[in-house]
Amino acid sequence: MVEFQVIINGLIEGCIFAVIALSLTLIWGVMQIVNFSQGEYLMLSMYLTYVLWNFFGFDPLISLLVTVPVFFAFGYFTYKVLISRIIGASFFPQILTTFGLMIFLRYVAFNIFGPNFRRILNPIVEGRISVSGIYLDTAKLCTAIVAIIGFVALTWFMTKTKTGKALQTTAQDREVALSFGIDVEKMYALAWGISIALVAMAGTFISTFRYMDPSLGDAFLLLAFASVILGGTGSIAGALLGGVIIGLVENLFGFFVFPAYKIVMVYIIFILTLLLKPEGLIKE
Amino acid sequence: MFHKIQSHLHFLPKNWLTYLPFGCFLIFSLIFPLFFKGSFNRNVMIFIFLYTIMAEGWNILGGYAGQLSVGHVVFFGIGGYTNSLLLVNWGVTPWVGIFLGGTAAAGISALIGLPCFRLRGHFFALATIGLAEITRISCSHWKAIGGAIGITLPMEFNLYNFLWRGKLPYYYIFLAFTLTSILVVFIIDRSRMGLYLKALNQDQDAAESFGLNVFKYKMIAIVISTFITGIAGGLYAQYVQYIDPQSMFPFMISIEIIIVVLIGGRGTVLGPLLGAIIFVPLSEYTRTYLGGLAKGYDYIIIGLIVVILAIKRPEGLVGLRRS
Amino acid sequence: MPLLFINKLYKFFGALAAVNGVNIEVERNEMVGLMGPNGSGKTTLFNCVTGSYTPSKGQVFLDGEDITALAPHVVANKGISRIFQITRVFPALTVVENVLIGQRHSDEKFIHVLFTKSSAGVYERALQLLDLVELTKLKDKLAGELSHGQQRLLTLARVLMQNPKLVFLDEPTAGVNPTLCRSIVSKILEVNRKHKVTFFIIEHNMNVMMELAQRIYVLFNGGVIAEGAPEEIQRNEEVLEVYYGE
Repeated sequence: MVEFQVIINGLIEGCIFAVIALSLTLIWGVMQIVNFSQGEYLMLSMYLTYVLWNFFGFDPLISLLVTVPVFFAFGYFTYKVLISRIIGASFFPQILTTFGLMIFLRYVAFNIFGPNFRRILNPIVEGRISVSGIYLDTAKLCTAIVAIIGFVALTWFMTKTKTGKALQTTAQDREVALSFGIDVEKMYALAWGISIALVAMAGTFISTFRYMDPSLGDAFLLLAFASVILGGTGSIAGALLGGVIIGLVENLFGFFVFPAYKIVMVYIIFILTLLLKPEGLIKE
Repeated sequence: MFHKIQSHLHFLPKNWLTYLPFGCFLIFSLIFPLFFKGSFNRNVMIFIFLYTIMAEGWNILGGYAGQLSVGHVVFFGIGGYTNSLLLVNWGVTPWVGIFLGGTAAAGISALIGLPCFRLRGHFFALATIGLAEITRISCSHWKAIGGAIGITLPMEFNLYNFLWRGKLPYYYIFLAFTLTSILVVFIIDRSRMGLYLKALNQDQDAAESFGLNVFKYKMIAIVISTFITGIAGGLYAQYVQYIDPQSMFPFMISIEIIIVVLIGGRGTVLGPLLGAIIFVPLSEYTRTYLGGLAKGYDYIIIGLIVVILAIKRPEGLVGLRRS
Repeated sequence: MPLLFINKLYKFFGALAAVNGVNIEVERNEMVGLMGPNGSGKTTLFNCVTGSYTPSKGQVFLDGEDITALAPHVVANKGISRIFQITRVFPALTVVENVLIGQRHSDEKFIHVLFTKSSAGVYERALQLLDLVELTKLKDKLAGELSHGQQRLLTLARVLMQNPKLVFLDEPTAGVNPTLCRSIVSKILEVNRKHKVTFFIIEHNMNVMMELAQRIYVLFNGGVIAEGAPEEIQRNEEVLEVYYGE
């Protein structure tokens, strides 16, 4: 019975990593940029949720309506102002820009909020429910459900809508997209907007069960990277698969082997994937 | 004999102007302690030295050989831990221990390079981050080397232990190491090896078609690079006299090393030095005068500078002079 | 014994046979051409010989020695050099440094590599080669700043520095103006005559091929469909069909 609990926990956490991985893989797949600052957007969205809760009494579920659009704009804006200038540049300027952005965003948050942990109390979704002897943390469960909704929504968007298909074309081949008359710049900005909006959605829900501090981005980012690499960069289904596997590995290893080293296990799988199967499990 | 002299002629830069900035730095740093006796300023210089050593080390791998290591702090940490463990557990003098630390770092880097040099660009960077994090977490839980508590160096201040109460001995010794690391990069830059590294950095496949064993040269580069960085780790340990996984393996230091090289210019001899001269005082002084550690202004400014430089001048400030 | 002997070579990418059972011989001092429409496997064949690709089946012999599937730098050190289809110089190195890359690597001592720019006499040889392609005045300029044509000539000098037995030329006159084309063709012929270098040339320009090649192989869909002197090839029905037919 305990094994089952651990597996369920792993699946739930996996979905959460998966949606962050999805946001990473979207940018990576569409414009081949590895965004090291993705974790900071997650952190900032959690802080915004906190502010809305602390000063206006908005429950996270409600502030979702504010946070997601705001961060969509934030992502779009980041692309227009910053990222558009390094599209096509070599690897070194790209990686440095996202690192610089990471540092800047993190320490702005540090400056405003200080290093102390903060926590949202009594959100609507707190508590636990029990399903035939297995305990499910409601907040985490909701986050996982929202994550899956996010996946379905994005898949629907990418395959069924005109804009989504244009985005896919741009991801596959920039030149071809241009020859079809697709405004590639707008597609890139859109990808950033959607990606950051996804992150914000995840962040809003994560804030219901996790404390926040300016450096929380690190942990999530590296796990998200592991998920992306494992699942296959640029693949939506891959992000989900990768995230779920990572979540399972972390929980199973942490419970049955070495709790302290569970992240190490994830990194080991990460590096092995890079060495043995860098394309990941699912090709786009 | 004459042939040897001839080939050396192309080795040393003919234009004496190129030596000037370095000469200024040398003279300045030699007489600095005479004018600045305060602890804070000497500390800033010492950290300039340490960051220069680490950056020059990284520069060999990331600047010349083109393999961007984003987890370079792991070699710093290995060097520091090896040195300290040898001193604390077996009484080995750091005068030897520091170099053994560098050797340990170099040895482990060779093991890493073996499988990882196949990876290009982003993937190599991610692998190095992963390795650094694995090391940091593992060391936090490894009781034999102190776990999260770390290692404290013995409080016996003498030459054998490489420990002093004041900053002056550290200052000049670190300066000597800094000059040596700059010299090493200078030799590499001017030699055939530098030529080959630059070539394989620009076009690996073409370099191979000319008979260059790319893998061999990358291995040589990583070994020298991490040896130097490992030495910096040992020096740091001796200076702060206490180390733990959090201070020896943090992700932030890997980033700072890259920032230092970015500012100055990677693939150049003096770039890392210039970068350290700008970066260290900037972060130290903004930290002090803009509200202390609690406000983070230093890193906000650094973040902005990095982004601006990355977009406008990724080849760094020294890189400008070339063209 | 031929200088280069490609024996029943195959290269599969999944189910696709990019090189489909090719037999080719190149004699010493010969100028041999390789033709065929785009996608017929010419560059893939080159890559299989130089070591960039590992052949799926078959062997490659250089001067009687089996060099199949050796690493690219080893093959280069054994005497096969190549000039790529797209002009690739090292843009951030100077012209003379570009040529110096070609110096002998197989018996370099590490001490020399670390402390010298070039062995005795090598620098002088580099200057001689730059003279051959008339780039001596630009020797300290960054290669990235040269015009396209000058870069092409630089690749020729660079390759000669390696003292190769056999040089693979991948479309040497592609995208090049007529004057430069003349210059390149005459330099290739001169090098072949004076320096006794063997050439294996991929070229689409029929006129250039006529001038350079003594013998031509025609590739189609990964297999050799014709072989012979240029005049024969020009009149060969199968070849004409493959190029102009349908």
